[in-house]
Amino acid sequence: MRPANCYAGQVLRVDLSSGAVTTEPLDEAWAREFIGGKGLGFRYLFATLPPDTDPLSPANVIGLFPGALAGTCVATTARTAVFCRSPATGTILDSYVGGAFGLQLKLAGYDGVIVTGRAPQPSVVLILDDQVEIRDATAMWGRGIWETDTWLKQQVGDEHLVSLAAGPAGENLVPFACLTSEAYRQAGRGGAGAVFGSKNLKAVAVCGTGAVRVPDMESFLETYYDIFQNSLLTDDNLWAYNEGTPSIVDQSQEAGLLPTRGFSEGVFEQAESINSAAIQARKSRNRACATCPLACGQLTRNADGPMEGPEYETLGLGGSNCGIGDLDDVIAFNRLCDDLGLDTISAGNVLGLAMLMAQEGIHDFGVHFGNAEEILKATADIAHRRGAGAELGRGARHVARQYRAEHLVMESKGLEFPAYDPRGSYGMALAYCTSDRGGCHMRAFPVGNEAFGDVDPFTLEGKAQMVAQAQDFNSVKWTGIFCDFWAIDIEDMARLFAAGTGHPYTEEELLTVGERVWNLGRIFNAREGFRREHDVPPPALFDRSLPEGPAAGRNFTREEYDAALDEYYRLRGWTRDGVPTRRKLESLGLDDLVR
Amino acid sequence: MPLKFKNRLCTGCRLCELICSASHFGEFAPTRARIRVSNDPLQGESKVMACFSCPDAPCIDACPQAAISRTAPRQPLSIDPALCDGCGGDPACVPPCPYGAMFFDTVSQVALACDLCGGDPQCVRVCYPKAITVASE
Repeated sequence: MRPANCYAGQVLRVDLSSGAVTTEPLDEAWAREFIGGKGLGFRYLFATLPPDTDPLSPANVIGLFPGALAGTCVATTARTAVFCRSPATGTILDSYVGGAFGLQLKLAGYDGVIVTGRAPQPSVVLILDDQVEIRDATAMWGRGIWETDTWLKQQVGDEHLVSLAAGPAGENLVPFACLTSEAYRQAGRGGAGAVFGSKNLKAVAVCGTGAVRVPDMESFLETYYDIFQNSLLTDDNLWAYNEGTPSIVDQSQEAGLLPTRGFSEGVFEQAESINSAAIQARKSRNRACATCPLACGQLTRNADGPMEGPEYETLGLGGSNCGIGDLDDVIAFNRLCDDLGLDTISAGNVLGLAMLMAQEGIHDFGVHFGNAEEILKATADIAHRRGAGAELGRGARHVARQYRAEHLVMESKGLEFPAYDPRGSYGMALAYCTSDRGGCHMRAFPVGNEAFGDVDPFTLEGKAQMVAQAQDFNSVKWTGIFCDFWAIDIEDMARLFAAGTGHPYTEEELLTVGERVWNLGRIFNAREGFRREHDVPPPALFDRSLPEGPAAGRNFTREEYDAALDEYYRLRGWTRDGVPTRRKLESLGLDDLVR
Repeated sequence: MPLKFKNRLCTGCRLCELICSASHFGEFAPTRARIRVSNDPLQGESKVMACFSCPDAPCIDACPQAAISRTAPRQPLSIDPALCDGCGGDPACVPPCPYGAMFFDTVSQVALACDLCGGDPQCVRVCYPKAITVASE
């Protein structure tokens, strides 16, 4: 009997080594304590993955968990999180993708999928309701994302089949290979594509014909219509429909923190060629993830055809950070990365670093600022790990260490920085370096209050609390998985979770869930040896200044950062070395997870 | 008044399908919706379609049970669940529809066409881009 709430009630396990496919009941206690998405995924990963597992070995685990409310009408919640140990960082990884994968997975009858082992030959996992098949995909090995998505739909003959696929970069184990859903949305960060590749797994694709239920549909819809009108379709969120993320280019430029030429500058003289106005001039239409009226995807087109984006991060890292001011070149870079299955953030970083190294006379990889032809060639070489790509395809941290360019690199724990230079908004340094998956702007986004708001961006004082609160809040939000672009508050989340699950979540209980999820990520990372020394920014943030703009000459000191990190650990209830104390874990019900 | 569609405004979110099935069947089940969205990510296109009570309505004549009717042209179709037997799982009314707007519910084994929710179509209510509107003729 299926439960009369938003859960499907079962989890699918696929072992690629033996070919075994099994289902098991959803752990209801975990569902209560971790809800879904980030929480449930972390809990299952922690329970399934042995410590000290090589991320590219068959023993690594891939978890696919949509938001708890996926399959209902609630906007953005069909987003899906991919979990594994990251080959880029060695940390826990949760990487999010929009589209409709979560919708189809719930309609097929699963709250999550756990994939283990390594297939004997290139394979795809096809999930059609209760028919789950591991099918040979040798014909698609080496092929791009678009061809793979088309092939998958032909295999099944259903246009609603939703794919989650790795490109050639994933097959070649590039640690910043992404996964792509429906050939247009990416779980970009942390190298889940390489984990697919290491498992001989080209794609997981799903199509469901079932239903998702809630305890009381009438009151569920009543609650949702109220939230839909009064907290979703508001100016706080509709920027996403009207302009989407390209609107951030002008904000970052104005604040002087737009990564430019390998993060050596924060103001780009050609920003007007790659900003929102430039995108709008090329826009063909909006595209939405399942159930989302915000439809933030801005479709553009070049000679090769239509494409979603470029988004802000790609404009920043594939544009200004590479010294590229021609939108056509950024679109070409974006299309190439998408088809090859490369994360544009990390790719733009490693290319920017390589070009800065050439400019500084450290090493010449044959790629130079502003030269789009060289950049596109190097991008393809990265995905295929050939030529200069053999080194660049191992990530910015590796390149910096190998060629003594550690004073130039911008990464934390091996994950390259997103397009907000922390020297223009100091809180971002703490956000990047305390993030559970390495340099990431999605766990806390202090720049929104600092450089883009009214809080002093050039001090670390008070930022520890700002970052810790945001991390806990977002950890709840991504059990949802409510999108970053919906500024939903905790009260509305509690109403929707209660209406969907039947459990009367309170705001207080939800914030505890958030803290629990964040601490679970930390004990996973602590188990893998991560300590305070790993939460420290790269030297360039202390030692190298931006030459012009509002952030010119601005650097915080090592002492100031240390004090902020002390404060952060104190607020968290962690030791001075960044490890959660037993008392803290007891208060969150996590103490039995550590010895 | 029947529904009207502007495909260039459709963002492919499928919220209409979910709301349709929720308000008619009390569950979120796109395969039970009377409106359907089709996405072609490679071409960057989305389309939405439901019965708009077209002038010819070949479905009416195709039904061997005479279960489909309408009070006047352009008024929503009515499918009598007491008469519709789903043609044993191979409904005769589905293939003749030139718009692909007649559907079949495999759960209840009856044909499905948009009934305008009795005058307050819920899909229109949630379609922010206004790809679905009520024709104002």
